[in-house]
This record gives sequence, structure tokens and C-alpha cells, in this order.
Amino acid sequence: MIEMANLPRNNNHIPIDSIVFKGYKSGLTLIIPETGSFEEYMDALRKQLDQSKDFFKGAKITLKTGNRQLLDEERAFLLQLIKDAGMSVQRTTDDFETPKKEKTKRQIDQKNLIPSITIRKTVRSGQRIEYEGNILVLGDVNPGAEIIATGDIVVLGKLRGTAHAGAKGDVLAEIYAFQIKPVQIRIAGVFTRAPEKEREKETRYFGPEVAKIRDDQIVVEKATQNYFNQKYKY
Amino acid sequence: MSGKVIVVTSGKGGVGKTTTTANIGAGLALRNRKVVLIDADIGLRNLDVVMGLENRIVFDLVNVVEKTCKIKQALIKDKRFENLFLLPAAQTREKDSIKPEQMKELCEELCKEFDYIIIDCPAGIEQGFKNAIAGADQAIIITTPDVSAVRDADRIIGLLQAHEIPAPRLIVNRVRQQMVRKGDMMDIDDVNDILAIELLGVVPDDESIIVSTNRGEPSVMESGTKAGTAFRNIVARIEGEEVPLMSLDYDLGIFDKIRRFMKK
Repeated sequence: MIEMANLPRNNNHIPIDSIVFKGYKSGLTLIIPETGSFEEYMDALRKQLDQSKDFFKGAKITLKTGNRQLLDEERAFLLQLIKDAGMSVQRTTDDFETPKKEKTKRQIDQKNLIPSITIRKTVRSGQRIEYEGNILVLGDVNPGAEIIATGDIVVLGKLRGTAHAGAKGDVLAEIYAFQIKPVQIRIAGVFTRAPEKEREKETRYFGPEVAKIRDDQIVVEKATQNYFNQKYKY
Repeated sequence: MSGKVIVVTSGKGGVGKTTTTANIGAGLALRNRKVVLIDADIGLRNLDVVMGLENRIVFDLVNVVEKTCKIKQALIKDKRFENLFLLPAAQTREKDSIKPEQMKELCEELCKEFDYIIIDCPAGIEQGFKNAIAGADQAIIITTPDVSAVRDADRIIGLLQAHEIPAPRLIVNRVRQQMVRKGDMMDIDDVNDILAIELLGVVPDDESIIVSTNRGEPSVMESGTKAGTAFRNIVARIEGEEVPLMSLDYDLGIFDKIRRFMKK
């Protein structure tokens, strides 16, 4: 039993009839008042429960805290009181949403969550997409089209146009595509174009490719199945 | 009866828009459809010449839009067909002489009378193009199998998408099968790998086009030419028929024929 003296005090008086139990189809719900002294509420609740001891015994109730945020000690005290009266809490509901951002932040660190834009079509000649973040294209990038991102560029199709990743100077930016045969590729400040000769038909690799800077030059390599797993595992 | 408005466009100049417009129009008219062709290339009109009707022009598209004359007065009936009409462009005016809304209104008016309204679009992507597509509810893209034309066609497809015209269909014109086989010319698959739209037809390069253009007699009118047959097939497909693509291997030389025979 937690000592009443440890709980924070404030001076709003809680009348005994503010103890609200509501009967719903799902069972009994105890609605905790959203404002007012918790201590006084506990006093009033205890008195109520004492008066109707047998009525509540064995009841499985829902706790509704609304917009009130209970401190850990307050919550523990309340649960104990309920238990002493022979009731159990089957669930708690509240009215505030946990902002989703907070949730993802706790699971993945900030620097690996990058705003991205997705283009759900082939980008055609004469079209230009610029974005502060990563760009994902679900389709091809045709010759004459331009994709400019401050982050990475991912083309789930053939990259045949012009792509500029790391447009604000990020030399670690990369460009991925099922096939990289561009008019021009740029990463940060480095430019390059496709090699003059077509690759030999036999050694032709038909799979995802990645373009990145190595030793101040842009290189295009295979991006095999384990590419990301290896690169970003930690 | 509500007509279909088809714009024939390409981006690049000289790929065969006017020739195609003339042949599709004549081909549909041969199937007893009521067809009107509109030349939207103001200032550089050609459709009238290709149709052999240049001597009969009194009023033109700009006159109609400026209400100098009634539509009927400007339409030229091609006497060789039951129901084929031409609305010629103005030669002494410029592309900004008409506005997209005016084209749209004109097309809506013509839809009441005709089964097909086919608009010959000028090359480019500026005012002329914008006017030509304004009234259209379908588009046909013409390209030749070379990188420049394909690049321009791709641009046009993007612009048509932006103007919310439904998916255009493709005609690949002036294909030289010999060159394709040698690897000197793009294959249809290479072309449509980039453009990625429905293929309406393939027209082989044919000297007879030069002759028929100069004579003002669209190819579809006579049988026996390769291009004429290709256009007739295209017309059939426009009308909803399923016609397999023509084999373009007829220009095999004697040695190729022997080689093929041996392979079997």
C-alpha cells in the first residue's frame, strides 16, 4: 500500500458523487475525472468502494482516464485500491494519441529516416523532378528526363535519363536502378556518362545496379541481394 | 451520333503526320464513315496538298473561328469519296490566330455531324500543338524508328498525359526492315520499350508515298503498295478489328531467301 503522504497535493475539492461508474455493454467503466486533486479523488473513491463492497466484488472494469495523465505512483495507487475492493482492471482507455513519429524515432535513429517522394509512373522526356530528400521512381526514367535529389535516387526500372543524387553536395549519395544506362549521372559535384562501348552480351548483368562515388569517380556496380543488408546493417 | 476526335501528333517534324492523317481519313471514308480532316498547321499548311484539294480552298480554319464564314462554307468535299471533308488551315496567318477554346468548340460542333474528326497537328510543343489537342479525345503518335524522333515522341506523350488525354496509340513509320535486321535501325520493340504505349501499326518505308503525295492521291486508294496496305490495316484497327501486324520481310534478297530455306 502506497503512503498517501507521498502523492502530490492540490486544492480542488472532489465531491463524493464525482465517482462515476458507467455501465456499458462491455462491462463497468470507471471514469477518472480529468481535472482536480488525485488525492481527494482517491479518498472519495475509497469511501464509495467501502460503502458498496459486495456490489463491486469480482467485477472486471475498464479504466477511462480521458485526457488525464496519471503519474506512475498515482496509477499504482489507483490499481491497488481497485484490487483491494475485489475488482480487476481488464483494460484502460485514454484520449490522447501517441504521436507516431515518436514511436518510429524510438525504433530507428533519426539519421536513417529520410523524407522521400515516390513517383508512381515512368518519367518521360522533358519532365523534371526535384526534391529535398530521396526520390523513388516506380517506372523508367526515359532519356531527356531529369531527376534531382539531395539524397539518393532509386529507380525501379531503367534509368536512361539524367539523374543527380546528393545535389547539395552529399558525396555518399547513391543511385540505384534495375539498369543504369543514363544520358548523364551526377553525384554531388561529380559528372559522368555511360561508357561508349556496349557491354559484351555474355557478361551482361541483368540485375539491380548502383552508382556511387569511389576515389572521386562515379562507378557503377552490381547491387546484389545482400547489398543493403551489408551496407546498412548497423 | 457523336463523333470521335483524334489528333495525329508526333513532336518531331517530317515523320509522317500529314500523310497518315490523309490516309487514315481516306481509309475511313472508304468504309463509309463520315470523316472530316482538320489541318491545324496554320501558316504551313500541307494537308490540302497531300489530298490534292489545294485548288478548291476558299475559306479556312481561321475564317471559321473568326466567324467570317460558316463551317459548311469552309469544308471542302472530296469528290472521290462519299463522305470525306477537309477543313484547311490558313496559309497567311500564324499559330496564335486561334485559341484552344475555339478549337474545342469547333470540334464539339463537328462531332454532331461526323463519325471521325481527324486533326493534323503541327510539329512542336507550343501554341500550334496546344490548339490541335484542345478538342481531342484520342491521340495517335507518329514516330520514325530513330532516337531523335523517339525522344520527341516521349516528350509529347508526357504532355498528353498532363493534358489528361487518354493513353495515345503509336504508329511507327518508315521502317526499313533490311536496316533493322542489320542492326542499323531501331527495332519496333526498342522504340516501344521507351514509349511504352499501345502499338496501332507499323508502316514500311515506301517510295510510292512520294508519288502519291505529289499526285495528291492518298495511298489507301490504290491496292498493291506496302504503305497503302499498312494504312488500311491501321484503319481497320481504329475501327476495332484485330489485324495482325504485316510481315515486313518481303524485301529479302535472293541469298537471304536461300539462307532461310536452308535453316529450315
